[in-house]
Amino acid sequence: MDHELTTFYKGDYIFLEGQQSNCAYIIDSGLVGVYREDSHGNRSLVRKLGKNEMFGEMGLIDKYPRSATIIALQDTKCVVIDRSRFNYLTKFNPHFVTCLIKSLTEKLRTTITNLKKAGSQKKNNPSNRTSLSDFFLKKGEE
Amino acid sequence: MNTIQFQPGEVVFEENSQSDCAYLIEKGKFEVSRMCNGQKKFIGILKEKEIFGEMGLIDDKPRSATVTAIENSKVSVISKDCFRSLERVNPESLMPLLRVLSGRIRETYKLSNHNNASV
Repeated sequence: MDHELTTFYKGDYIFLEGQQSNCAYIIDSGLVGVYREDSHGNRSLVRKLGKNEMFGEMGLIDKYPRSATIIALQDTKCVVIDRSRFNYLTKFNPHFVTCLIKSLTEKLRTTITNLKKAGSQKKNNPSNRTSLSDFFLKKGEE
Repeated sequence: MNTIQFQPGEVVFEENSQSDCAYLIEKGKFEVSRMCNGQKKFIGILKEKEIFGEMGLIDDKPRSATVTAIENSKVSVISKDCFRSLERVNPESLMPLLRVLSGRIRETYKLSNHNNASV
């Protein structure tokens, strides 16, 4: 991609969980960590993302706040896609939309797999009805 | 798009079967279930205007659950070809699908928070 690159240095916070979302990022080089807080406020590393991977796109799709905190684990260069660029790309660039869909699907599968793993490690907890229930139960949108 | 009608009790697809299309519910309700230690476990209900089966359409992995009609229902079938041509000709038309995926990811995140899972 021939877009301008933004550099983040190791240890930089790229964005914080709960913040308003106004752009997405595609990693050109480097490594970032995705951190999420549990219900007790403890932050832990969920996964790492590297070259050509995308993050921050969900907020542009659904306009909800950031679902995770992103911290640069190495010096990292990113293409930054703001909302107007995002809208343009989703309108005119099928390849971009394909990448978005793949990125989301992969995220969802990873999260389900992790949930299942966590579920099987906590068999004694009856409230732990992990599975797919909640994400299949879409809350009456429209 | 083709439409298919289902009677109560009819299965749309079984868990672990191969995926080649997604479905948009035009009318009716469906139950989502999974086998767990040899027993059927109920995990949710899908209603009108909801999409299901879209993940398999995208990444060709087997179905992650079984979907069964619980009312007289009608669905539109979104085939792989239809999906690809929408992607090519009118990428913006796939935004609702992106929103569904995004919503499911957020809900799954919430579930993992709820379970205090270290994902």
